[in-house]
Amino acid sequence: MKRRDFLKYGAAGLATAGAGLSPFEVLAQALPGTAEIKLGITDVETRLIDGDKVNMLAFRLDGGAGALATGRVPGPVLRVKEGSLVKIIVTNDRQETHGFEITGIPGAKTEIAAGSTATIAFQAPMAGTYIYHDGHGGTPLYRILGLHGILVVEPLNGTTPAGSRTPYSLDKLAPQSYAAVSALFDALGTTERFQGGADGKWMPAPSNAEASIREKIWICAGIDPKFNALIERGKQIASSPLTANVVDTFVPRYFTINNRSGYDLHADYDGQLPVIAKNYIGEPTLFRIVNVGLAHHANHFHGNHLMELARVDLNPKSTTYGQIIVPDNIFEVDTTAMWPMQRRDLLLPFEIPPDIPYQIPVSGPTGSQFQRMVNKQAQEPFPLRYVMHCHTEMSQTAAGGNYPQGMVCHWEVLGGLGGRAKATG
Amino acid sequence: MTSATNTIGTATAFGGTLAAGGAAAQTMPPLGPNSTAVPGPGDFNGGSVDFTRTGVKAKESFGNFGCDTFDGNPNTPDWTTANAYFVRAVHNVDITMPDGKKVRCWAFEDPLKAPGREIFPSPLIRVQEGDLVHVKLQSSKGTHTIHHHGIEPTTFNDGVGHVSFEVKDDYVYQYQTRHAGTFFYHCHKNTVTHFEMGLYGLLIVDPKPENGRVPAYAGGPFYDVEKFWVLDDMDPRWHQITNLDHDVGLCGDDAGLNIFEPKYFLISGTPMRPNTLVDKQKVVAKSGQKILIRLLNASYSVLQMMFEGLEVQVISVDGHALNKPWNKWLTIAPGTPFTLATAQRYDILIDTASPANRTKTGYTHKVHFEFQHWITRKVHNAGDKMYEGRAFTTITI
Repeated sequence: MKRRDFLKYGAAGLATAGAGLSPFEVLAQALPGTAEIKLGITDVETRLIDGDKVNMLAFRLDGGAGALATGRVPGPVLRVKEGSLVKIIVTNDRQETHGFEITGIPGAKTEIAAGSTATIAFQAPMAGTYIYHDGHGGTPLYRILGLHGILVVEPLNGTTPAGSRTPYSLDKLAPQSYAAVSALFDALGTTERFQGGADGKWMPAPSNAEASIREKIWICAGIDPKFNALIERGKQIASSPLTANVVDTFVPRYFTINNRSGYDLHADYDGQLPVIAKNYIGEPTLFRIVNVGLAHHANHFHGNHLMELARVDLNPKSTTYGQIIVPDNIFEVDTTAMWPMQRRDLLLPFEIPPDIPYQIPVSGPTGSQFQRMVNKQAQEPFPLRYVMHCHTEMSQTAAGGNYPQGMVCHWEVLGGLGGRAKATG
Repeated sequence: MTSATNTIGTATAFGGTLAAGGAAAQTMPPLGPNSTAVPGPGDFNGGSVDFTRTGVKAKESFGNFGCDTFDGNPNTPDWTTANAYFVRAVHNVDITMPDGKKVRCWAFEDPLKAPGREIFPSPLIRVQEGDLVHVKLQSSKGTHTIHHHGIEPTTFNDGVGHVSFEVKDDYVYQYQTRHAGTFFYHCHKNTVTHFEMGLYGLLIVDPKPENGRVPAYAGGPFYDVEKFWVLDDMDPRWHQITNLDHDVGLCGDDAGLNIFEPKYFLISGTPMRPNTLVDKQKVVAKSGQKILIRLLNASYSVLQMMFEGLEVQVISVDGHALNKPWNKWLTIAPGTPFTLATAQRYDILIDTASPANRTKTGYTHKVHFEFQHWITRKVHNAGDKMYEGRAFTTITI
């Protein structure tokens, strides 16, 4: 069979916004107030994992320290405090009407005519993970072409009576959800399974979330280049049989997290929304995972089971359709269902991978292999690297083959409990 | 292959790196009553390991990430004596489908306990909580790996080529089971095709017996009837191209592996037809008994299921029991559809004596399976009398 040479590239050549600045501006607020965010809608070009280039549509951050010269896919991460008055001003650089809306926030929806500006204002709702996107005309077309991003709402009252911080507004939860969330976050750092004391608690992202080691944002999507080929700079996208029935004609050939795939996800590059959690045991990490694509994914983590925190009710027949559900029954899973427009928060506990031999020799246990690794008495070294991939394996391909250059990345255990303090101290 | 009756003394004779505690005659913990393992340590596989020839310490490149990934036959690092030993080889299994056509599948073979036997899905690995498990993979038809899905060992024993290595001839995977529940194992090389070909089987971890009986998990319910329902779908085009080229698509070819259009649907290896009872996989229980169904979606479809007439309870998900302070059993009312994503497992308990179910004795209840397309969510081949992605079996009490 014919073999093809791949283009080799990495971080080099990827434009960054400026020294020391994250291109993903974060608007952290300690207290509710007023947040004003300016976005632009523009054309960009994306290089795929096999070197092919496609046109995409992107949001650009205008104004502020993290302002971008160009748009990026996904759009900037917006982060506000529950109850804040949020004003989002969107400028449309393109030659056709676009929309802007935030799923799950009633009224947070507008249209922006070609070359003009529109504003939405809303009060930041219940804490959680939201998707902003262009759903103009009720089609997913603009969303899958790149016009999507994440809004994170942080809780006002997220601390349990025992002092554990959580990502949710505990006072707004039903009693059983309150109890389940509290039981889990209170257990962190305090049990044989989740060790570490006060340091073993979950920590919310600091003001610069992209530098956060305890929170990762993953936006899953797919690319079908025949749709991208509809984009011509300076022109509007013409109606066609494709645009008339996107779901039935969409045959994705590339599968991305934060608009990267395969080898391009094996490391984080300057200027791109990071994906890889590299932590020590006892440093639980929150993953906010959303699917803005059209495929039904099954995200599987190796190494640790994750706790399924909030999700969105996607059942149109349900009375809570479209709402964030903070469950009263938190499953521990190795695979999570990421249906289109699902938004899930999952907690990766960073516990010692449970099936590393822990009672050796098995005939009369005197030790554990993980402790031997920490003591540098073992052969296998740190970091332990565990992949995360979608198990609906078609998503593991690129351009019809090339496993695993699709939706796969990994997370790393750098060392044992308290290892960070030792490493820095 | 070394004899399964290999003694520990033989192993340690070669085991220069064994910890002092690993030597001498040991009293090994007995295997559980349901174990499918061979007792004892099996092959000795300790010794030095050159991690620079694997994904652990080699510099990553575009090439070794996929097309030209690491392979070899390394020793098992930090080898220790196991009490549960398995061997898995790779062989062909041809399955005759309802339309009379044969589909070439690949499966793992168990040369120790069922040599030459074509078992599909691949032979069960059943161990007990706390067992130190060795699984020796003997590759053929090119390189393979075993990933024990839901089992969380070190990276080297996790079976993913680009962060460790693929197995050329043989390797002994090592782990010690912690959580009792339902897992599975599968080849993780060119997974998109090798998992589809059938290189997977169930892996069950039993808790230790309590008063001579084995519950679903430690402190969990006992059960009288156990059934495995492993759902799969097959696209014959994929089987054809993978059987021709073990590495199909790996190095730049467009093999159309982003397009999956299954024609055949199987429950635990039994091909199904729409509107036809899958007799072989039905469940029959007596009044008052508890039924445990271990459910795995091994298909590439969204699996929608529905139990008619019976109230069921999900007691464990992905091998972790719903007995933590932050979770509880999930009750599914009769006739309520629910979905499983690829690779998810539910352990489902049906208590025939429960208030909701005890009036259902003497009846046969249908269980529906619907395989939905991973993008459109439409049932596959809707309306086709032969190839529609819909099937049912029954539970009789």
